[in-house]
Amino acid sequence: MTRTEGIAQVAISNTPKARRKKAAPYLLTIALAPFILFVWWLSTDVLKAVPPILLPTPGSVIEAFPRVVGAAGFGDQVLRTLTEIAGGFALGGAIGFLLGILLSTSSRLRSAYLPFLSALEAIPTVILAPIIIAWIGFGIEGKILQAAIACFYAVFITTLSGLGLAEPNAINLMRSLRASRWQIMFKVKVPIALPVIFGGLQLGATTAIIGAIVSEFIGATGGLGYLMLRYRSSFNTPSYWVIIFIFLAIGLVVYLTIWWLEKKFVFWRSASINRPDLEKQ
Amino acid sequence: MTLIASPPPGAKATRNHPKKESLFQRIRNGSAWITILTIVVIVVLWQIIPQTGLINRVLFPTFTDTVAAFVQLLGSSYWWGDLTKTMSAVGIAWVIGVAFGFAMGVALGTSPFVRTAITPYAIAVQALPKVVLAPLLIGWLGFGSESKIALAVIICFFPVWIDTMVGLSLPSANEFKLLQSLKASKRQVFLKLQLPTAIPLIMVGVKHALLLAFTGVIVAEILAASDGGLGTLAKEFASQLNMGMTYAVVFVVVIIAVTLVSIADVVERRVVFWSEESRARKR
Repeated sequence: MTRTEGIAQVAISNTPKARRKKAAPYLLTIALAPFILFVWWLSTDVLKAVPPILLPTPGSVIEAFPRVVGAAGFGDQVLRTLTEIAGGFALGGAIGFLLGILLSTSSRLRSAYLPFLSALEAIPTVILAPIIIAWIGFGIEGKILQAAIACFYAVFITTLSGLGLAEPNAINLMRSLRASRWQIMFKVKVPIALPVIFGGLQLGATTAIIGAIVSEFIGATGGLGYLMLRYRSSFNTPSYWVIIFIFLAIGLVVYLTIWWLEKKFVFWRSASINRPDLEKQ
Repeated sequence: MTLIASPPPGAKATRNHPKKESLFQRIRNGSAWITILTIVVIVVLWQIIPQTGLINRVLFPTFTDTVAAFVQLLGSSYWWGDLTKTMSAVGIAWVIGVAFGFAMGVALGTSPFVRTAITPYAIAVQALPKVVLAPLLIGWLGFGSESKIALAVIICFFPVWIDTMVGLSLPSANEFKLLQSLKASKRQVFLKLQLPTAIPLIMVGVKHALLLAFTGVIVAEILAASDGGLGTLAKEFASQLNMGMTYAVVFVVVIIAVTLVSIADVVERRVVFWSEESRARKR
């Protein structure tokens, strides 16, 4: 987009009419919510087209909500799962970030180790879950490890490729000003890489949540996944769906938190510049 | 509205892999030696540490024990059956997931209005860890291959859907205007402008879907044990504390995954030879 075009667009998008036009799709968004609820209600409660063991009626899920949330020890289970996710994300993200920085500093190290680490992209990390359980048991440490392994690669590869984005001229300028390697890294390379790294954090957070849940399903003594298995084995599908919605809420809160952090830290750059936008056109 | 940015931006960033070098280049600049040295050190430590008794030899069998287990696995009678079960489930789920994701992407992504309206829901679908449905699907469809395939489809259709939606929006406003000024029909705009522009990105989603389908099948196999498959095999060996065999199964999974990615990369390069140009435009 040329510069003038951009300015023209800003000018247009500030008129009330343009604003109304821009908001119009979101009216459809809002209208869709009751429609989805209606279809859910129609297919389960009225037509009974969906087996209740898979999808219970909306009413029964709402009814089950206070029972699930009010059950003794529910807070502890939530806290346990959140600890696993946060711990795994912090561990995997930190290792991924540091390793990304390390490999970005030396092309020799990069070409020596990148083939191994790239294999991690392909591997379904859940296959390691049985080994992790055999090694360190059903405790919370194993869940943290699983989540860390799940989210490591996304942060690592985005850090590595983001750090390569800085223009050679910018680095040459810094060198000619006698900047140290440390200064070049943290004043030029890391700021330019940040939008990409945030993309990796976003993806890594999602995979950390998945890693924690899967390993709770495979064997745990507590946590939301453990609770879900208990509800399923007693055929209490409405309560199971309550926890699905809790996981949806956790996922959305994590997504929005990272998005908000990105706005705070990458304030100099509108995210829409480097992200393909669904509403573009 | 930046919140509306396509849900897996990281996934896209992930794809800017730093350049891979040829083996010859790597030998010349010395990095191949670092690689070989690292492998040798790891193998030697793997062999020596369990023997010294520093760590439990049952949980960490030595390198030679693991190799022996690998040979035993490849020579066993059940192994081909489990491999075929896993791979056929992956194949079926991948085809269904890609078809479903592409259909949804085209249905919801062709019109910018619908695309914008649907985006918050796309974000919600992305934020929900879809594996939470695994026990439910197993409870409904039983322990057979249907539940594996269903889970893998649910997990793998998503990137194809989003990448199709984003891809269809890639052409610039001027390109649309040009085709409209030439009185192109909606169908022509779709077939001659939007689809060709979108295909490189869709291929990335299709590749990603292959890996996710593999993950979905393995998860279902680990959780529901009676149908067999590589996931079940790994879980059963681990629960018998037969760690050598467990490692061997994990190696098989790693080899398959890496092979799948390499094949997909080659196919992608052949099919979308014009992709570099299209990716440059995206930025």
